[in-house]
Amino acid sequence: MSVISRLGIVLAVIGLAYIVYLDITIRNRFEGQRWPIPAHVYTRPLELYQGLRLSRQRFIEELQELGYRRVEHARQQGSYAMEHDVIRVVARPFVFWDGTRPELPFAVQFRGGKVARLTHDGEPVDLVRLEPRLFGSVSSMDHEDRTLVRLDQVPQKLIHALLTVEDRDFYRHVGIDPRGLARALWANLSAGRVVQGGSTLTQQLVKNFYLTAERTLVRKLNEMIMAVLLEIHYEKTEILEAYLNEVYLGQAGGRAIHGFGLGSLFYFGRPLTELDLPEIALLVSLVRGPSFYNPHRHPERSRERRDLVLDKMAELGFIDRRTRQRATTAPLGVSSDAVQSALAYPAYLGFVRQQLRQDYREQDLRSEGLRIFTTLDPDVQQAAEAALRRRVTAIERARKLAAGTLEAAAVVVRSDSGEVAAMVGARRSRFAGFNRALEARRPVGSLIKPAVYLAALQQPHRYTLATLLEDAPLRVKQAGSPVWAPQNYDRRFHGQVLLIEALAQSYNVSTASLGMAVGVDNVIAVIRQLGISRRLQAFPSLLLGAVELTPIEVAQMYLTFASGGFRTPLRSIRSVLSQDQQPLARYPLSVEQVIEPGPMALLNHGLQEVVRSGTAQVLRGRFPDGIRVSGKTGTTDDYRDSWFAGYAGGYLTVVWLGRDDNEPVGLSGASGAMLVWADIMRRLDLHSEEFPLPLDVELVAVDQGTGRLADTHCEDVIELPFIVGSAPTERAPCASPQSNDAGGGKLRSWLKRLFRN
Amino acid sequence: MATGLVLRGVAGPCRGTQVRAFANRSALGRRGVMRSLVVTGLITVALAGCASVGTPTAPVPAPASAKPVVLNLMRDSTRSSAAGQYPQAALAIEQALRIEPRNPWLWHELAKVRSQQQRYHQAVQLAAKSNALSRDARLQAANWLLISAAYKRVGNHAKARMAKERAERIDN
Repeated sequence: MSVISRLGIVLAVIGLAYIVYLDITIRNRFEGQRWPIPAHVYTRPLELYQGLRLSRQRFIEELQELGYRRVEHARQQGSYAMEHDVIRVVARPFVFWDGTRPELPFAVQFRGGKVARLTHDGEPVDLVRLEPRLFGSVSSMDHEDRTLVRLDQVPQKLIHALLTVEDRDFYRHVGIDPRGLARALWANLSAGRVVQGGSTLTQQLVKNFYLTAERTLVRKLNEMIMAVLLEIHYEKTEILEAYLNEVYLGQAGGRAIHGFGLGSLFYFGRPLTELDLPEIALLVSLVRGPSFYNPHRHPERSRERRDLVLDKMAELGFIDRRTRQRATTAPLGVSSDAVQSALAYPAYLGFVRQQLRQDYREQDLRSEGLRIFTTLDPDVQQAAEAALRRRVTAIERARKLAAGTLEAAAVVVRSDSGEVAAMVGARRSRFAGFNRALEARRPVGSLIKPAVYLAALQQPHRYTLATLLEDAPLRVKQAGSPVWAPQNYDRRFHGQVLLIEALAQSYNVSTASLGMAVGVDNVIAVIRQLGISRRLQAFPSLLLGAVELTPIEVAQMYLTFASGGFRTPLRSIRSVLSQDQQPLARYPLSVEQVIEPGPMALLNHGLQEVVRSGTAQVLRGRFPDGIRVSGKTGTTDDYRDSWFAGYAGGYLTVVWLGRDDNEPVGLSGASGAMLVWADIMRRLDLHSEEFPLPLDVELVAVDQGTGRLADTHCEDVIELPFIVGSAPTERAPCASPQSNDAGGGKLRSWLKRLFRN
Repeated sequence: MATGLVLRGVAGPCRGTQVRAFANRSALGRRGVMRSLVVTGLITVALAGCASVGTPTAPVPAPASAKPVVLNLMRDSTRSSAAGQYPQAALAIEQALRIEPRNPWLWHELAKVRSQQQRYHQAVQLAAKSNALSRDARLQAANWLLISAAYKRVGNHAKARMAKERAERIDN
C-alpha cells in the first residue's frame, strides 16, 4: 500500500471516530430531559361562589389579567362575553393541586358588589375556580426559561408559518438542504444583505442545542454532520417538537424566554392554542432576531417582518389572499401587561424561593419543572403596591424629604391561615433588588411593647388592664453599662396611669417599669412564644424595642395576636406539583395555641384601645362599623423608623418606612407607616366575625382614674375585660359607698349581658 | 334561581339544619333532575328539619354555615373521610375556611379529619381554635370530647380526663 492510501485509511478512521463521538454527543442530550425546566410560580386562583364580595369590574380585570378576550359570544376557552348583566366565560382547562378541571363554560351575575348567581349549563353551581396566573419562575444559572409544549398543542398555522420562512423543505431534506442553501445565497446576493438563512431547522436546533455561538468553518461542519446524525436517529416530528421548545424568543430582564409555549404567554398573555393568525405570524417572525424585531421596542420593523411572514404563507398557499389581507391589518396585539406580569412581584417571589429552599434543593427548583401554587392574591398585592407608592410619595412631599430617599416595605397576611396575600419589598415594587420585607432588619421600637404587656397579663393575680402603673422617672443600673433612664416621646411623666392607658398611649417609662417588674427574661420568653426565633439579648432597652426585626418577623409575631393566641406559620405556598402533575408536597394549615385565651383577649382589647383612644386614634371611624381595628405604632430613636402593625377583619398588615442608610426621616409610626397601612386595609374585603370573649373572661366597669370598681355615679368609666376572679374588688371614690350589690354590680351584670348577647 | 327561592322558603326557627339538608340533596342531584330534587328536598326537610335539634343525645347538629358552598364543601369532606381519603377531606375544609375563616364548625371538622389521620397534636390544636371562635356550648363540648379522645390516644390520660370533665361541665 502506498503512503497516501495508508494515510487515507488513518484519516478515514479518525474521521469515523469523530463522527461516532458526535453521534454519542447528540444522542446523550436528546434522550431524557433535554432542558432544565425552572419551577413555575402561580398566584392563588380566584374562587367564585355565590355571596363572594367581588365587583363586576374587578372580575373583568381578573379575566383580562388572565388574558381572556372579550368576544360577542363566548364559545372558545379563554374568552368571555357580556350579555346584559350576565358575564359568560369559557374557562381554560387547568391541572390544579387537587385534580384537573376541564374546560368550563359558566355564567356569573353580580349584584351589589357580590356574586349573585353562578351557573353552568343553566344549572346553579357552588364554586368555580379560575386558573391561577403564572407570575414567576426559579430559573437556572443561564436564566433560560420555558414551558414545554407537545407538538399536538401547537397550532397547525404556526408550523406552516415556521416552515414557510425558516425551512420549506423540512419534511424532505436529510438535515441539510443544499437547495435551500442555494436559494438563500441567491436571495442574499440579490438583496445585497442577509435576508434569508440557509440553515435547516435541524441545523438551527443543533446549533442552539449543542454548539457555541462562534462562527467558524469547523463549527459549521460539525453542525452539518450533527444535523444529519440527528435526522438518522429521530423522527421529523421529534426534531420539530424539540425546535419549538428550544427556540429563543425574547428577554425579560435577566430571564431568557425560550420556546413558543412561554413566548406566547410572554408576548400575548395567552396560551399558544388561543393565538390568532397575525399573532402566530408575529411569534414566528421573532425567530430571526427577538431583539431586532422586538415588537415593543421596534413596532414598525416588527410589523414589516410579521407581514412578510404572512405574505410568504399566502405565496405557498397556506392561507388565502383575503385571510392574508385581513391579518396584515390587525394590530400587533402584544400586551405590555403580559411582559409586566412576567416581572411582577419580585418581593413575593423572593419569599416563595426562601420557603422552597427549606424543602427542595436549589438544583431541583431550577431544573425539575415544578409547579408552585402560592397564596399571592394579585388584588391585595396591587392594593398594597398602589397604597405604598402613592402614600410614600405624598409623605415625602408633605415633609419636604429628598425625593426618592424614603423607602418602604409591607406584608399582608390572612389572620387565621397565615397565608401571605401580598408582600412589597420596595416603593418601586416591580424592581427586583433589596427586599426590605424579608431582609431589612430594623429596630422595632414600640412594636415590641405588646409582648411586655402580655407577659404581665399572663399573671392575672398581679396584673390586669386596670392595674395602676407608675409613669415616673426611672433609672436602671446595669453592670458595665451606663445608667438607663428612658424618656417618654413627649418628654413628660404622666404619674399614675392604668395599664391599658400606658399601652394605648405607648408610654415608654411606665412600660419599662412594668417590664423590669415582670422580668426581661419573661418578656423574651413571650416574644419566643409569639414566633420570633432570633436570639435576643436580655438588655432592659429591649423592653422599648431596641430589637432589630424584619417586617416579616414582625408579621409572624403580630399574627399570633391577630389569630387569637394561635401561632400559625406564615405560608406562601399551598401546594407543589411535579412536572408530570403529581402532587409532591402540601403545606397544610397548622396552628399551635401558644397564648392562653384569657390573657390574649385582654391584650387584644388593649390593642383595640390603641385605635379607640391611643396613638392610632386617627384610624377611628375610617373603617366600616362592625370592623374592629387593633394595632400598634412603632417609632425609633430620632425618628429613623416608622412602623405600624395592625389587624382587622381577617387581615394582618405590617408596614415599615425608613431610609436604607438609616438616617432620620422625621416620621413617627402614626405619621408615616400607619397612613400607608390604612390605605392598604381600606381596600381589602374585611369581614366582621370576631373572637368571642373566652368563658373565663368577664367585663367589669372601672373608674378610669383609679382602676377601681365604678358605678353609675362615676363619670370616667371604662369597661374592661378581666380574667374571672381578677377584677378589682375595691370601690372607686366616685362610686356610692353604701350600695354594695347595686351600682357597680348592676352595671357589671348589665354590661356582661350586653356583651354575651 | 331555584336555590335562592328554596333557601328563603325554608327560613324559620331551624333554618340551619334545613339548609344543610337541602344542600346535601342539591349536591347529589346536579343537572337535569335538579328541579324534582328541590321539591323532594323541601318535603324531607320540612319533616325532618326540627326533629334532631331538640334531642340532647343526637350527634352535634351542624347549623355550620349560611353559605351553600361551605355546606357542600363540608359534605364533600365528610364523604372523603368516609372513603378514607383524608387529604382530600382536609383540602375541602381548608377551601371552606378560605371562604369563612372564622367559622368554628369548620375548625372542628378539620380537627376531626386530623384525628382520623392520627395527627393528634394538630387535632387538639384545631379543636382549641374552634373553641376560641365558638359561642356554641354544644360545639364546645364536642371539641373537648375530641381533645379528650386525642389525648387518650397519645397516652396522656390526665389531660384526657380533664378535657372530658370540661365537656361534661358544658353539657350540664
